[in-house]
Amino acid sequence: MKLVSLFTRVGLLALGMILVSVLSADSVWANSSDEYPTTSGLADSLLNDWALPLLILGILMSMAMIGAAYLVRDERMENLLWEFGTGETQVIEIEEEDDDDDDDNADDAVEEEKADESADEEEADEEEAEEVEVTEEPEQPEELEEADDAQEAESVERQARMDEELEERRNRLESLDEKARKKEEELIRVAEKAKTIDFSTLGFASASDSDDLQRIKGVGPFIAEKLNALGIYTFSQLANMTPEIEEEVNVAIEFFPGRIKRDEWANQARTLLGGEEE
Amino acid sequence: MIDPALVSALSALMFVIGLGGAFTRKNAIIVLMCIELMLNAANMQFAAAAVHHGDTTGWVYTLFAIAIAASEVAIGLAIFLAVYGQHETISLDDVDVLKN
Repeated sequence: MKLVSLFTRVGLLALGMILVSVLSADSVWANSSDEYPTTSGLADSLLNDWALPLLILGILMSMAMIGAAYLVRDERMENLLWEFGTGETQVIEIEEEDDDDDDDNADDAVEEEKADESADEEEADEEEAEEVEVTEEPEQPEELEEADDAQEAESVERQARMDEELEERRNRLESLDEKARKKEEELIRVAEKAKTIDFSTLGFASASDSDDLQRIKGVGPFIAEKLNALGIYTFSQLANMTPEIEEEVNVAIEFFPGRIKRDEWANQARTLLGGEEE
Repeated sequence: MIDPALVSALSALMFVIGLGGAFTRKNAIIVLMCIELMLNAANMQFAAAAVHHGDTTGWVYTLFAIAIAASEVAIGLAIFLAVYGQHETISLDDVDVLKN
């Protein structure tokens, strides 16, 4: 390896020397002109002799810029809808074209899945109440073991309140237009996953004592809403996240896999908390 | 007017540095910068020749090269961003297969 690197250096040096000697000695430098080119001359040749190449270059650059923007797009549908607001139908078309390229069957499967999901959600309405009762007890064993009646009652109450909120959201669905409904459905899906998360470690909070979660790098408006739907309102809750909970939250808000960990939300929240106290 | 030999020497030096960097570096962004360095070496030579001969063609070439370099960098950085999203690294040793 060392030999290769030495060889490369010697080769580069030799190339440099050859370049210098060839370039300096070239006959192109022999007869110089007394007159300097002027900017008006440059404009003249650009817009007359080189008009067509200039046009092609402009097209090339536009293509490059559009391509770059396309490459760095955040391809999750929800973000596109959120950002563009009105451009919903166009965005959907683009997304579907992408899918077509990959696999027609996959496309169909996804659509079926979506249909199933929305159907399930309505069915789940009635089952919801019983499910809550079942999942509640294993959820917070430590809290219950302490046999603190008040605490227990509080958690039951909290659960009831969250269910109420869910119900409210569902009812609101009917009155919303298609776009808003899609968003709302996602928030409901997120809120339902709140049961999988260990809030005894995170600590509870409500909308009244919420922090501006968007101050955390990586949290946008929609993600903040999802976190709120999940029951996370404050920096202290985020700061309390263990790696396992980070993973659960990541799954629950349907974010890029591992992104919460990578962006260090917990650390960021801790920093923001520290800043507020000072 | 500066001696064209000096300009040639400088642009040859820039080109060699760029070439060496593009061959040996592992960070994709540094490789991109080295490619830019090589392009700029050529640009300098073009500009020097334009002044030397009193002809604007060299300047036009330079402008075109700059524009093409800009679009190339835009695409390159976009690709690096996409690669980083996928692999969480842009070290060219880790990202050496054009397939995810």
